[in-house]
Amino acid sequence: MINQENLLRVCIHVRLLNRYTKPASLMPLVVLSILALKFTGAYYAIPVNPGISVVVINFLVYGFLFEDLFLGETNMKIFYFLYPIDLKKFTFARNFAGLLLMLVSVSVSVSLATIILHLTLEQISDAFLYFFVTFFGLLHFWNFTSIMFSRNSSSSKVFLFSALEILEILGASIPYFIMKLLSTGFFLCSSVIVVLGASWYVFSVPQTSRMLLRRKFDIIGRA
Amino acid sequence: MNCIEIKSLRKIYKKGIVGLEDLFLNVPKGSLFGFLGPNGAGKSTTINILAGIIRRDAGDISILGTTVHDEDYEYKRWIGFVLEQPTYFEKLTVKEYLEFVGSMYDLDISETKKRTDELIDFFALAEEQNEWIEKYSAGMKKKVALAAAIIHQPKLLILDEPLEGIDPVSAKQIKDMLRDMVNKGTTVFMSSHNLDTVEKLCDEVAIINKGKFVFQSKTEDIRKKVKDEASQETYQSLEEVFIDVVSQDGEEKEKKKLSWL
Repeated sequence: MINQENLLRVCIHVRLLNRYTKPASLMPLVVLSILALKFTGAYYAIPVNPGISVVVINFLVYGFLFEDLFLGETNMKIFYFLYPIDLKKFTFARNFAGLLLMLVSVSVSVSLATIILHLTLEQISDAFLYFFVTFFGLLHFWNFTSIMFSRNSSSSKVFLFSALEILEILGASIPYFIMKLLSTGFFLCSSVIVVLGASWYVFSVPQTSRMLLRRKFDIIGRA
Repeated sequence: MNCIEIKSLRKIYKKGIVGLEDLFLNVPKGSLFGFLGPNGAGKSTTINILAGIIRRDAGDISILGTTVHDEDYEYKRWIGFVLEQPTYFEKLTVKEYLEFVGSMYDLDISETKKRTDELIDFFALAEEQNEWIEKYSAGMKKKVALAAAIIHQPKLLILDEPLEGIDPVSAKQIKDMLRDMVNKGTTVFMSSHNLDTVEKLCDEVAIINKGKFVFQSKTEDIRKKVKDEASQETYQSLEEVFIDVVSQDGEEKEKKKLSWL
């Protein structure tokens, strides 16, 4: 699974996602949201870990970009089907690149929140647990929405997609909250993350690649 | 033996516009094949169907001895494509782009890097290799596309207007490279509007018009073909053949003029 070829693929996808979606340009929005949490006192009022609120802010801000994880411009859509791409490897690399970029953003914003909102070590580790548990579920949604509704069609329905994104985050958060109700044990949380990660690799990646191939001509939009 | 066999290929676009109508075409293996036709004849449609990015409505295609269906993609492992839109990720440098394409063909990394360096040198792209492709001129983008099409040493090259926008020095180098590839057994299928180049470069040509096959000949035989039965006059050039066969269906042949010039 981890070899030089796959690493090269992931590196290229990190570059592509970074250059096309420009996640760094949205960082000020994340910072402003953290400041808003601080100055509105919302983090006192919300009876959850503010670190989790910071991760949710990241999902809300970057989710809109990642809902178009695969497609983007027409030329790219042609590229996917012009070359003999192993779509499974391709999906894996694209998703993994998304995970890395999101992890960078979450790490930066949680660090900022630690300074601004005075997060404890437990809150920080909990925020990262929440991130990993929720991210794999979200990836599945993003893969699906990216293929079924490309940016061209979604941009005209921004509000609908924003609402859908909130629902996606809520849905993907359910395993975490069930887990918190049952136990806060680190071992259980880590096991759940491993299971979710494995199910993403075993089910979501192949399913997404099959969906990409099945919807080839709809995606290219030139048939 | 044929490298590409097309039988009864049909494509009707939305609103009933005919892209291809019962197209038959055989491209011999190991040839440099010119695919000609006026604007809107169906050349790009044919190439896009061969590339699997347009759905055909009917017809059979066989490439390198394998029947190809719309959903297949394994056959592309041995083919290099340059389409109308030459490059696809323009926020990459040429090096990144070629390495990305190399990884799509599952080329070994060290081999990809070696070939990338050679290709950048060959296509004279070294000076701009740190710029993103989006800053390149149309001709340079075409060179990048050509480099990407040959990085995996294909058995078949399918090229849509490969020399369009490319400067004469590079064009000469590319033509020599294509000839070398053909001499080593590669088949090159290229569309072009430059009839002089096609006549000098290609071994065989086919002309389509309004989505239908109208003419095919070895280039060396073109000047032997009889133009007028009565006088036994022969064609003098490919251009003459082209103009003759695409305007045979009752279209006016006389020279048109603009009223204000």
